[in-house]
Amino acid sequence: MNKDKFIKEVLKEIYAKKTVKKRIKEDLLERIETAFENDPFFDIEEELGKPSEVANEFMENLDDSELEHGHRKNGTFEYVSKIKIFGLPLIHINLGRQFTGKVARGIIAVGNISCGVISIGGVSVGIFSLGGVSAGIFSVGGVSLGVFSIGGIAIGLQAYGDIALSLK
Amino acid sequence: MTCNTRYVLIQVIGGDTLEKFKKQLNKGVLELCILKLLDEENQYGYSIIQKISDRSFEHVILKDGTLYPILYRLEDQGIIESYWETVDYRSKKPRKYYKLTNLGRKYFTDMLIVYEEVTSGVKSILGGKQ
Repeated sequence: MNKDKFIKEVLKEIYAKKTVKKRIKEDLLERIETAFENDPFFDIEEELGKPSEVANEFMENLDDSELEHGHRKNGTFEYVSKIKIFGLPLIHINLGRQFTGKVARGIIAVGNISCGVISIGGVSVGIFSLGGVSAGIFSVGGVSLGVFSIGGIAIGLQAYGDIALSLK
Repeated sequence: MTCNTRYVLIQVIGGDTLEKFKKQLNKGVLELCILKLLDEENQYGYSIIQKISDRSFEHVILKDGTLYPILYRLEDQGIIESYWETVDYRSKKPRKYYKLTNLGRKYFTDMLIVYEEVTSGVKSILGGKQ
C-alpha cells in the first residue's frame, strides 16, 4: 500500500474535525516520508500497523473537543439538539456498539435505550414507540406493549401480531 | 472450578487488565518522556518515536496514534511549538520540528517535581511497611 492510499484509509476512519484531520494528514505524510528516507525498504503497515489500527489509536487519544460533533472516543455516538421543549431536547441520539446503559431522552429519542414522544430504540418507551422491545401508546416492536400495539408478540387494548393479546 | 480453568480465566482477565494498566501508566508518563526529549533538543515526530523506543530498550513503544494527539494537545496549550525546517543535506523536504516554549520548560520542570514525588511515594508503598 502506498503512502497516499494508507493515509486516505486512516483518515476515512477518523471522525475528527477538518482542522484536526488536516493536521494528522500532514504529520503522517511527513512521518512516512522521513521513515522512507532512513530506510528505502520501509514497510508502512509493518511499522505503523493497519490503517484501521492507526485510526483507532488516534480516536482513542484525541480529545473529545477534537472529534467530529457527536462522536465519542469509546465508539459511541451522542447528539443532543440545542432546542429544548419542556426541558427535553428536541432530538437526543445516543448510540453505541457496546451496551453502556445510557438512555436517549428527548421529544425524538433514538438509542440503544430510548424514551421520548417519538422513540426509536433497542428498548424503546414512548408515545409513538418503535423498538426491539417497545412500549407506548402507539407501539410497534418485536415485543410490543401498548394501547395500540403491533408486533411479533403484541399486547395491548388493540393488538395485532403473530402472537397478539388484545385486552379489549 | 478446576485449577486449570481458574488458571485460564486468570490468564484471560489478567492479560486484558494488564494491557489496560500499561496503557494508563503509559499515558501519564509518555508526555513527560516527550518533553524530556524536547528539553534536550528539538525533535520531529519520527525521531521522538525512535528515541523513546531506543532509550527505553523497547519497553515503551510509542505509536503514531498516541504521539501526535499528545503533540497536538501540548501545542494547543502553548507548551511546545512546531516549525518546518530542512536541515538534512540528503533531503530537500522540510521536516516538522517541535520545540519547547518557555512556558513548556517551566511546565516540564514542575512535571518532573510532581513525578519524583509520586514515584517516590509509590516506591515507598511497594517497598512494604517500614
